[in-house]
Amino acid sequence: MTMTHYTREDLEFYRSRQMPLLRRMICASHLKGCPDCARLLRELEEDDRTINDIRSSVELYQNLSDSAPAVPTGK
Amino acid sequence: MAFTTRRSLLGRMCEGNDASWREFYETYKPLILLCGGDMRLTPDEKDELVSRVMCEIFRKDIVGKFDPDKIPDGVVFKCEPGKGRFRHFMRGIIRNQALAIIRQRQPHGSLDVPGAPDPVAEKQWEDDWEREWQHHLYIEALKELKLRVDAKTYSAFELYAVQGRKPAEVAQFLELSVASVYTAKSRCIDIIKSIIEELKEQ
Repeated sequence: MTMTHYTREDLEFYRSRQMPLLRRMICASHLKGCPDCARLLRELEEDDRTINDIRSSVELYQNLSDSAPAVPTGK
Repeated sequence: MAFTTRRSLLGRMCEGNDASWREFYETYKPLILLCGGDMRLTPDEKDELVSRVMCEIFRKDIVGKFDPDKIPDGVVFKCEPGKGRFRHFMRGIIRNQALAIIRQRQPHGSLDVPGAPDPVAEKQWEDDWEREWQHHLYIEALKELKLRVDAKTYSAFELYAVQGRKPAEVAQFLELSVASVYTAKSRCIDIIKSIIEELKEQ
């Protein structure tokens, strides 16, 4: 029997609860027994941390530019 | 890609191109300001730090030392793997100039301020520098990402991941499926991670 794995997009729908209930239950069951899909889910969670870091950096730099004086001309 | 962009920028700076210096200034000013904040400089002192660092780079012709014309294609500033030469220069110059500013405000050039937290502790500075450099890398990686992916992919990533808008909202706005928004996010994250690794080598 061929085992069907979930794609990143499927897992995004799963973890954001956009997946219909029955499919969600099947997916949850599959994740318990499939290391590959479980790893993919962990990677998405790791991506969330990277995104949070990026957001912090962007916010920090935006705050700096909001309070910064004009750039001097010439060197 | 980033290497080419930076190489080109530094090359133009070596030729005294004013716009290139301006670009350099815009790129590194936030990093310097943040480091100044970490060393508890006042707003005026932080501005002075930016000026001092820029002048020091120009005065010592540090950019010129990289001599971009002699660097083979695909290899830029690579001195020791994982230990970027330019990063090392910037770190040293910012630290030294910040200390000089602190010294000039103290009687007899002392770095000791009774009762105040130690602004010059080396270990603290190391941690602060790593954090600020990481912020700098993310900002540079985003700029580079914009050059490496199509406009719609970048917009999907920016709206969803950076601005935190809902995927359905982004999908509707960009006339994409929600799955495509997720695909764009994953693709951009992978590219950003790859760019960060490249930048760390510089």
